[in-house]
Amino acid sequence: MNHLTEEDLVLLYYSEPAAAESRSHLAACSTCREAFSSLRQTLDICNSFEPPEPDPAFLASLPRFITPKVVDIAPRRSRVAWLAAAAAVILSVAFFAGRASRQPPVVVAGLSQEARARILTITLADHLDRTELLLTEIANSADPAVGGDRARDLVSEGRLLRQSVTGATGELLDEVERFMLDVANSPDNKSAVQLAQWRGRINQASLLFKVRILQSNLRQKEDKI
Amino acid sequence: MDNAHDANMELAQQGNHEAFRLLMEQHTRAVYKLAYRMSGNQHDAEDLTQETFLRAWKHIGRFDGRATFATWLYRICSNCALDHHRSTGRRPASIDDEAIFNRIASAEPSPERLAVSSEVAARLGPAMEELSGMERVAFVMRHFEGVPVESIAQALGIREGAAKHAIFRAVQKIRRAMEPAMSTK
Repeated sequence: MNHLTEEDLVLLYYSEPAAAESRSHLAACSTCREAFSSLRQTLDICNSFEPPEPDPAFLASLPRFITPKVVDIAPRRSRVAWLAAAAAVILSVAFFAGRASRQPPVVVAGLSQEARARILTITLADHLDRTELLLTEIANSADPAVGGDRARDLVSEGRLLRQSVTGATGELLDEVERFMLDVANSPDNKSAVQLAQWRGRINQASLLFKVRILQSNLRQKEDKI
Repeated sequence: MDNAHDANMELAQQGNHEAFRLLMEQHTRAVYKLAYRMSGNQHDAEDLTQETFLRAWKHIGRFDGRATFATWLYRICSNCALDHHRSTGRRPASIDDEAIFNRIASAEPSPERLAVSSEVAARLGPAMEELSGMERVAFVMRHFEGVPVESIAQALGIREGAAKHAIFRAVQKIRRAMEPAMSTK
């Protein structure tokens, strides 16, 4: 009989889903029960440690410390709000440009070059945030329903953004779109093989890594704008 | 969460400072306790709590309600702790042994607490000090906060195997440090 490893016992202690089989082994094996009891005794001891309550002086000073900073920092608007704002500007400019002239060069009136760059940077970084989150879930999850509507949303957003970016950023958006399209078009009940293939694609193309790098660069740029 | 909490969240997302202050008031203790476990000392725990709320304000527009606000704050705090460990290039400070001892000594006696010898308590601090930043954060999330390994991996942006490995290493180090005391108990 193969006994449980220490890793199995740790997963069992924390009642992780992966420990289901170990539980039945434990019921039948006194050696493993003994090892588990020893592990449990040690880890239970750690529960004795309760962090202290925060210092009342800290609690009192926290709002005084945070509030002025909060007033100085405008919260970043949500992705949806930025997309809506950008779309509204683009649509209204296109409408008025169309009415005023049939000449093609359209300069977005009322919105500076910097403001447009800022909208694009923030929107793109938020899009990549959501992309990273979903890629991470797919890379780690065994959930057959992973992806779905979120992948479809990302495809739509990515296409909108793709019209405004070029070069390596545009190529990465294309790559992400191809992947997300496959995820969006797959059935809700995905097989383990399908999930493994996706994980393979993410790793092989270093997709998650590339998304993180671009997102990090955009966030740095965003802080400077 | 109650309606007032949800209303404050909505207002805070629209940029209302007072609503955010009320949310902060409601969650400070929980965030501080998590920060203390992650850092092991009062000074860093206070810094991490402040940083958590500043980041939360900055990014509140991204909170989409899929997780609770408490869980969202909790993820921010975990990432702040990791960033802190990376930027200082040092291990988190040890849990104050005296603080542990005092808390155990002052707590109402229970069979579990009575079973904890002072030697065991004194070993926990140095044992936690041996953990790397990642090990400590992952262990605290799993052991004290009850977060499943899969969610830890997502929160920290690492693979599930890496999260498991960090927890195993943490458990091994803690056992190694504490078992001599356990055997004499």
